Amino acid sequence: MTQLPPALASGSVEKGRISRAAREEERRQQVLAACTDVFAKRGYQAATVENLIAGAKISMGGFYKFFEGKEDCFVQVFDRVVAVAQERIRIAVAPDANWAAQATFGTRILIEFAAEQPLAAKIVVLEAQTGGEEALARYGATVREVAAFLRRGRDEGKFGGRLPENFEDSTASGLVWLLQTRLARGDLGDAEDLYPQVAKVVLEPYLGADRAQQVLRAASDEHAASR
Amino acid sequence: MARDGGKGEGEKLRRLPPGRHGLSREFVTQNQRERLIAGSIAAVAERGFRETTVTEISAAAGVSRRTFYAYFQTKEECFLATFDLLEEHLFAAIAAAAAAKPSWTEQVRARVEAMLGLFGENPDLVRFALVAPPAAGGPVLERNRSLLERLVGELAAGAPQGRGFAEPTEVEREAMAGAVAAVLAGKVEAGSDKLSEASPELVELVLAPVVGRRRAATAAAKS
Repeated sequence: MTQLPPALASGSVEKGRISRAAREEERRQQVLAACTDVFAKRGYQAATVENLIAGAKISMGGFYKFFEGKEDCFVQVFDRVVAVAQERIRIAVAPDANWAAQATFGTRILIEFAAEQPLAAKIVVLEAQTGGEEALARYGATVREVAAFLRRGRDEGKFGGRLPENFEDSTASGLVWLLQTRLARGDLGDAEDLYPQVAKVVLEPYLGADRAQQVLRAASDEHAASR
Repeated sequence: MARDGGKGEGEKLRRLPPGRHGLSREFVTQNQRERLIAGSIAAVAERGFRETTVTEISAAAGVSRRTFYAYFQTKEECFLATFDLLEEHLFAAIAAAAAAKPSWTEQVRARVEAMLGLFGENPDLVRFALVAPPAAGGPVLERNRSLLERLVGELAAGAPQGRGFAEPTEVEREAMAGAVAAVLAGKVEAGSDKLSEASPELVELVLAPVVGRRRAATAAAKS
């Protein structure tokens, strides 16, 4: 007679606990989504715990069960938005794709995400800068991650070797600035129109203008075919 | 934040000697207002917009709080006046540098160097106008953004048209504005004497959308 491993044996975990934990996590996600809107609409500085409680429809006690305070709430909101965006990229971009394809699809996903959820995007690119030390540190780390990804383009394209040493830092800041400008004025523009232009800024320094154009055309054909 | 000793506007515009100095009332008035502006630059560079107080601006300027309120109703009003004066000087310096340069590339180079010269003498200006505003938000951030938009426009002004020259797209101009700010802020944070090193990198940034990356890099390397 085969013996079941402990994990498969019935009664090893209480059923009630699973559903309670799952329900709580779902509730937490709802609260974070509501707080995202409050922070994005009022701005981090102006938003109060009272605003967050009203927006999320929870009690004061409920709020402090989830968060230490306003700043902690903002940091968790920031992390959630970044996690959602990363998950979308992970699903859409094949892990074995080359750098140029990753950069092209990654740009598309991020711009579509920002167009679809401008308030969430505002949290990461705009409000994080005013959201206290921890949020600012995470904002800085996110910009550096973008720069680190861009830097990998140097191994791929034949022009990468000629770029200035800090080229990726300034490019990443430039791309963030572009999003900041457009999100601040509340008009990102048409994602379909914006994405190839941004991808061109990303690709060209490494691949050169001709090859960048080829990559973008191939990506657009593939996208059209998949519809 | 590390402060470099003593090249800011605040030290340049020294405190007037007390008592009868024989200066006209208009001169003193102008002088006090400019000193408050210099004081706001020094205070913000050290503490940021939000933390800086009217008392600190007045102390840095060497005037009383009462004098501050004779010129400005709030610290925000003083900050915006500082942006006004900075823009006036910066864009005048940039325009003057380009005059009589034979080619557009030379004009761009001269403008970049004029800007770096001005910021190199007063690195606190970079901290005030480019580094500190994002954490402040509000009208200060709006001024920072409009300054940068205008700056990239002025640096690249007069680009030739026709074969071999492209008109930069809005996306390219926006990406350029953020990149220029990042280069300047990065150099100032690395040490204010590093600003002059930024010239080739900035020239390449401005030229690239118009003449292409490769030609831009070649032209920038000549500086």
